[in-house]
Amino acid sequence: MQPEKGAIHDDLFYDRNDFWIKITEAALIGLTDAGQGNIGDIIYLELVPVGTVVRRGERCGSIESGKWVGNLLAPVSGVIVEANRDAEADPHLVNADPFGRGWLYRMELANRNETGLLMDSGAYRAWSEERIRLEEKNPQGWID
Amino acid sequence: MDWRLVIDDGVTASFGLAADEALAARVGAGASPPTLRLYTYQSHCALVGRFQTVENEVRADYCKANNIPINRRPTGGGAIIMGADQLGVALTMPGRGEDTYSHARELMGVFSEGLVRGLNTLGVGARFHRKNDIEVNGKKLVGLGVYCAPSGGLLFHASMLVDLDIALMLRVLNTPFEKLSDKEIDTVAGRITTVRRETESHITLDEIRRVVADGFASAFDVNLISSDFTAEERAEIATLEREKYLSEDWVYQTTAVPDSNGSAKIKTPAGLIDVSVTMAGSIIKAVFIGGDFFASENAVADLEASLRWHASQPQKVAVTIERIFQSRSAEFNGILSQFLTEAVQKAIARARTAENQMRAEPYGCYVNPGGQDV
Repeated sequence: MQPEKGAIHDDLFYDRNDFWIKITEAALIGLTDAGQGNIGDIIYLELVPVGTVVRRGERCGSIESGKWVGNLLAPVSGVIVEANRDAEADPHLVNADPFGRGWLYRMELANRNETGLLMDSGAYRAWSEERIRLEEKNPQGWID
Repeated sequence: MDWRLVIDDGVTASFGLAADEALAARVGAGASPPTLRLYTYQSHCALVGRFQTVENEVRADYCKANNIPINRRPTGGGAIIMGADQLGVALTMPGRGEDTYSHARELMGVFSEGLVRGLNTLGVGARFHRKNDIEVNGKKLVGLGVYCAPSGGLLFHASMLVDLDIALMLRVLNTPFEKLSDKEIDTVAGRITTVRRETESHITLDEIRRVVADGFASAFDVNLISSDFTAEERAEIATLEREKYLSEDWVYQTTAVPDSNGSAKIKTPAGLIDVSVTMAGSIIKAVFIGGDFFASENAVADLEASLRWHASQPQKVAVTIERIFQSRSAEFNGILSQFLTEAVQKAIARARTAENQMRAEPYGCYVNPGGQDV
């Protein structure tokens, strides 16, 4: 999967932590272009091991950008069946190609009904635009 | 609005870190109130950043021989030493539940402002320096970091140099210096500063705590109520300390991102430029700019700080160097930005080439890297 960078893709689902989720047999998960752009240059990435069971909203990894350290929170529940170790060794992949080589996890879904809690591309686009408007009102920032 | 103010001194590394993380988790879950903690560690301990590799950053043998504990912070950034003369500032606040990153970014500006206001009242001309420092005329005074707990709680942390034993720091942290002489100490002293140096006084920790607390009360428009941890909080801190911060698995974990070093020398009409860089994967961890050209120490320190934790793409490096030159052109005394840009870019390219060799030449938060001539 190598969609072009920068777009919001119609065939994907999204959550409010800027994850994209591609639902097929399993779920492929990554950060959106807006998400990686918001975080900035990613220095370190820690992904949980294959076989880890995660629930939606629970921690499934850590990320450092500048001196900001945060957690990756699972957008859906399931079992991690593959983690992108290339991105872990070279987190710049997430910045450079978030929809492609910078993917994070392949997951086996525990409950396909959870996709109803995700946003489609239109809803994500509207939510992102609203967020940009709010940030423009409060431009006091920190991380590049 | 009322916030809690907690003051504790002489804490162990494991307790100090566990308290910060436990509070962030509890505040995010609504179990504890927003808390400003102004504290010091028992002298001394060495704390590496969240994802750093201990053996790259700290001289473990020296620490062991001198009973200096080593631990790992929940926040990112470089290795530091902490003790009675370094003020820890930990603000724990609830996040927004979603889109926490943007929320943290907004609040970080206010957090920095609280510290800057406090320092300004002492007559210290401190200002926020992207990405994570508070500096005085290019010299680092405070290091900043943010951690977002899974509960959504936010921990803003600062380590403020009230005073610093630079020689000790250079013995504890891995540095580029093969031997420790007055020259090496002077080099590091030229890149950092302390509150006592800036105020030219032996100002007490309590006095600094007072102005910092006032700065936060003013910046966030809150009342600070002095209090202590509750019994329930202490129990959670103890559990986290035992299970995480006293665990070697936590302290000595390693990262998949390799360190690498590169250096480059360029002869220019204004003198020799000698640049060394340390990279974390594709990100610049630190830059050291030396040589025999004449330039203001503050300008060089500013340039080095601006390139720390910076993307390594040649164009981005060039833009940052040009920005610093434009604001400090007179201080570079005829050195052309293009030569410095060329030297830094060359050193980066050599580090990237060497990346797979994993030959780290580590450095600390306040120390610049060396690197070998290539």
